[in-house]
Amino acid sequence: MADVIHTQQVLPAQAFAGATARQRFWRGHLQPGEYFWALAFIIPYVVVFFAFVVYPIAFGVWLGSKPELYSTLLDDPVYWMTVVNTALYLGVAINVKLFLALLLSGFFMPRGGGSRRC
Amino acid sequence: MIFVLPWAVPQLPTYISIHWMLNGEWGMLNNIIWHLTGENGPNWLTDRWLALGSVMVTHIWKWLPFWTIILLAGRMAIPSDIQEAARVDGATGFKLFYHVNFPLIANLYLICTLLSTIFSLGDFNAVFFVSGGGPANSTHVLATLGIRYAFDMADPRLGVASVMTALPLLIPLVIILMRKFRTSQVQL
Repeated sequence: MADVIHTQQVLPAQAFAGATARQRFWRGHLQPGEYFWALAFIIPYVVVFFAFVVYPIAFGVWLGSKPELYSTLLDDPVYWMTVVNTALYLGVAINVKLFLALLLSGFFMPRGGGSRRC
Repeated sequence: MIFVLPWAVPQLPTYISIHWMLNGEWGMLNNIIWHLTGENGPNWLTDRWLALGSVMVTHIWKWLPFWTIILLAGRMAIPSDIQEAARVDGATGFKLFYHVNFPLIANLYLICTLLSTIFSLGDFNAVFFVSGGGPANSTHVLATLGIRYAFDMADPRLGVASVMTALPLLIPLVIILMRKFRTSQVQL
């Protein structure tokens, strides 16, 4: 067992015997020929991630970053009604729904119930 | 099959038809009430609490099948020999449920509650299309209020800020949910 792990760890180290620590950091355990393809495969995902995850979140945080907005919000009576409504909606509707779901799931259980363990 | 239907049909047409069904003057529901009792039914969407209640009932009607199926799947995964052993020991009915079945799906139930809370915190459709923010903006939730600020009042920054105020609730929920997922590997 120990032999297997040992040989697997030695292989990349031999391939990069001449590489500096800095190059090893960027290239990891890749062979020199694999480097281009690794980048080619990862770049579309990185671009999509930044365009559709990081950028919208950052933009949203930036839009809502002024403190004056929140004082406007707290002065608005509609906002407080909304907070009460949201709390009721989450607190009542969801618990009633899941409790009913629990009861109904018992109602729909096949007779004999449960999975057979072989 | 029929039970799953509310979940399977598209959201918006059902919400809009529920909105018109609840109309106080000539909606279907009040027509039925009038034909059965001869009384005028309540104005469902012109009273704050009735409108909010209507939205909640709509939400429950819409999403109950989904969570029932999830919990049903969780229950069916309980090996039946555990229940047989409990029956041999004399547990029946409520006792069997309370001491055997429920502890085994309690974690799933909690995860469902958290997930449903996170989903519903951003729920826009049910509120917007059934009560529309309701009489005099009194039945908004954070999502619809954000849209109202951003588009009806032309202040996108205020809209974003109002939705942002859900984050102090949302982030802890997500963290707890992630913890639960990590620790719920093996229950039996």
